[in-house]
Amino acid sequence: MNDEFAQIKAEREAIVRRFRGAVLFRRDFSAIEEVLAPEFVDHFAPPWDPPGRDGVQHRFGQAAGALTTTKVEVLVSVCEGDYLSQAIELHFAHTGEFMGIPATGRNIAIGGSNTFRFDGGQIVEHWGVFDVAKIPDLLRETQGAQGGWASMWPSPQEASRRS
Amino acid sequence: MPADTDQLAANKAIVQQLVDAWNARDIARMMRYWAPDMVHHGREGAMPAGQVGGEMQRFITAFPDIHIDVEEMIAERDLVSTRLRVSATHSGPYMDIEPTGRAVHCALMGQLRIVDGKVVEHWGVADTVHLLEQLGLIDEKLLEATA
Repeated sequence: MNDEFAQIKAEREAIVRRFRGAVLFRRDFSAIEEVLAPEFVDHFAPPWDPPGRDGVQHRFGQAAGALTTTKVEVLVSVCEGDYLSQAIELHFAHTGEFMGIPATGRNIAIGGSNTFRFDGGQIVEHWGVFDVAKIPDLLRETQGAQGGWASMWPSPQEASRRS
Repeated sequence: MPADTDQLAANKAIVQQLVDAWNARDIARMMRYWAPDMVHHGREGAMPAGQVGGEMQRFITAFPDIHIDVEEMIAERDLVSTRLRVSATHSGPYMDIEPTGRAVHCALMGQLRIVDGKVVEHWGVADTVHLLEQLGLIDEKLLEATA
């Protein structure tokens, strides 16, 4: 690894850290326009959300009251070409109603994975997945058949009738 | 630095061969790419190598026609980051869910650490909510409220 590459990687990691700090911890959404390019595309965004940067603001605003981010842990960081990819662990406090579950005050953590494509100092594309389906499991007293998702979904027979 | 570039390409080739073994549903072939002391960091925390084979078998039993497409690989030093698209039919029990017979697609993103041609560490996260949604197990109203 040469010095120039190490510097580029460190700069990108700093940009992502600054973005997460502003948006997740300080609710400072001005970072969205600063860090994300005008043509920004979020590839795994829900189809009903506004496109581009507007959708990012919408999503961060929506979950903010229910789950208060307390820490973003970067487990591994990979950089090549225009890309930076990170495995992360997201730590939350459950401070409001989430998926029908009232605030429990519990501290939980879920896994996530982000890939960003950079153009200079800005992010132009993002792909991200998060194990959101684990959250109800973590918030319930009991897990598996008696709790978590299993207590929220209908039997497969009912599910197939419904669709 | 050609030597380094060669190493990155070799590591990406290992990941592609591992994916090919998945697509052949050949667990013995997959295990050839796992180091004996590898650690899988999945949704239930760190899983030791001894349990990974059983976990893969459970997954293949639930989704016997599983097919994985590699959408992107990013490599640096001993690491390869992957963005995969998994397609399968839910034909067997999975996570206490009886088979629904539905065809599903799911994004799977991960990172692998490769030493001497074998995976020594793997981090993986799937788009689980999207998967459960396709299985018909999440109320649409809840989904729109939390997306």
